[in-house]
Amino acid sequence: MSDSGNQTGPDQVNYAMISKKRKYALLIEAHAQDLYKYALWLCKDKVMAEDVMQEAFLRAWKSLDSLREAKAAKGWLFTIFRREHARQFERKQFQYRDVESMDTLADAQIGYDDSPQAFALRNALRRLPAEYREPLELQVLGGFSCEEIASLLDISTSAVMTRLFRARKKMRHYLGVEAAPELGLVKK
Amino acid sequence: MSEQNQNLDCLEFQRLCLSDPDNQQAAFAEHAHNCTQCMGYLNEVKAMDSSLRDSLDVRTPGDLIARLQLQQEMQQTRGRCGLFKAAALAALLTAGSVLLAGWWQVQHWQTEQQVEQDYQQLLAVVVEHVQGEAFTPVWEFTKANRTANTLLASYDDALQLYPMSNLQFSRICPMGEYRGLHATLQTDHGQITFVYLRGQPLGDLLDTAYQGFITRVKPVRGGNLVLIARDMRALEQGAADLSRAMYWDI
Ligand SMILES: [Zn+2]
Repeated sequence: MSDSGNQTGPDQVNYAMISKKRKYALLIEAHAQDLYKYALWLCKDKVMAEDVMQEAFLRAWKSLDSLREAKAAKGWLFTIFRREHARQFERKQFQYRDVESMDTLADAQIGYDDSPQAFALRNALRRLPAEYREPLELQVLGGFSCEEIASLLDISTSAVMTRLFRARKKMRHYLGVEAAPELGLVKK
Repeated sequence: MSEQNQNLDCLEFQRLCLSDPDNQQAAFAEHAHNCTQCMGYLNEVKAMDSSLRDSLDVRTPGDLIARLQLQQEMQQTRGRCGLFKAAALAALLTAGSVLLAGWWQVQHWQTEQQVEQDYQQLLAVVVEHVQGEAFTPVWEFTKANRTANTLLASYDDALQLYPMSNLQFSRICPMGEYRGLHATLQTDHGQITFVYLRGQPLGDLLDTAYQGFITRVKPVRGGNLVLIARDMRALEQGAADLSRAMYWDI
């Protein structure tokens, strides 16, 4: 992600002064857990999630000097991860054709909450078109702001907001919280 | 519904709710405060987000964090080894070889004394790790080979593995004070586990029966190979496979 901040806050000063090793340790400490959840959800496979993560952290270590601001670290790391995932997934896509049909089983193996409600939520998320699903995953799992998501996906903030609006609207519809628009029915 | 809020009407508010429920705008907070219906709507959206987050929650494997940390240490060691080699060469050229040879002899003698003790410790720690680590089943042998090669290369630039069609699983694991490549091979007589640890090679090839396993410690360049199997034939086959597959690209 771009180094969005131009403020010189204490974060930035400290970050510039700490060692590369410490930076890396902080990166793991602060973001490995969130990244793992995101990785597992995208990869649907523990081994692959760990592999892509290890590869992403290796790349992060190698280019850690280019990271100048603690605030930008998470977005930067997720960007590296997303690129690595795209690269590996493209190569292995043929193996994942069958995965969709075994989602319930896969979910249980992964260690997700196996209650029907949790499954329904994950299923609703899966059903979303990729363009709506991606920003929602980044917001809910990654905890990114709309501006950060815009930067990660390389689209405008208003486009992100529109996609998030549609994503949640559809989720609510899939989950039966919100009815689909009714035709020709006037409620009194 | 609130008529008094000029900045956001209910429709705009609910739209914003769906795109950014944690919105920090004053007008957003104000509308929520003044309009019970919209506040209810916001809470509903937030509840959905929070349930979704919970449904995707998993525990991060503890060893993953260790491996990420280890990966960096290995990268650093690799860099330092290069530096050390350069420094040693410089020392040799400038300070003369006599001093350096004397230094090496002292180091070597100290290491010899340690070997016996190190051997016991190494085996105990490796077997304990192997017993505790559940194997991930075969995933894809090309991938296992690729991983093994990447990991080996991070120990030693020159160390490589020819593709092995029976390689099942490989990863870098912390084992006590050591860390090493941990992998399994499938043989006609069952599975064999091998661990490669970088360090002082431990003299001779040693076979031991240890906690129901047959173990072999084989000194190889730059470290030791520990082979563990339940069956002697599996051990022999795995050892033969490995000696064919491991090579130094120099
Ligand atoms: Zn309202």
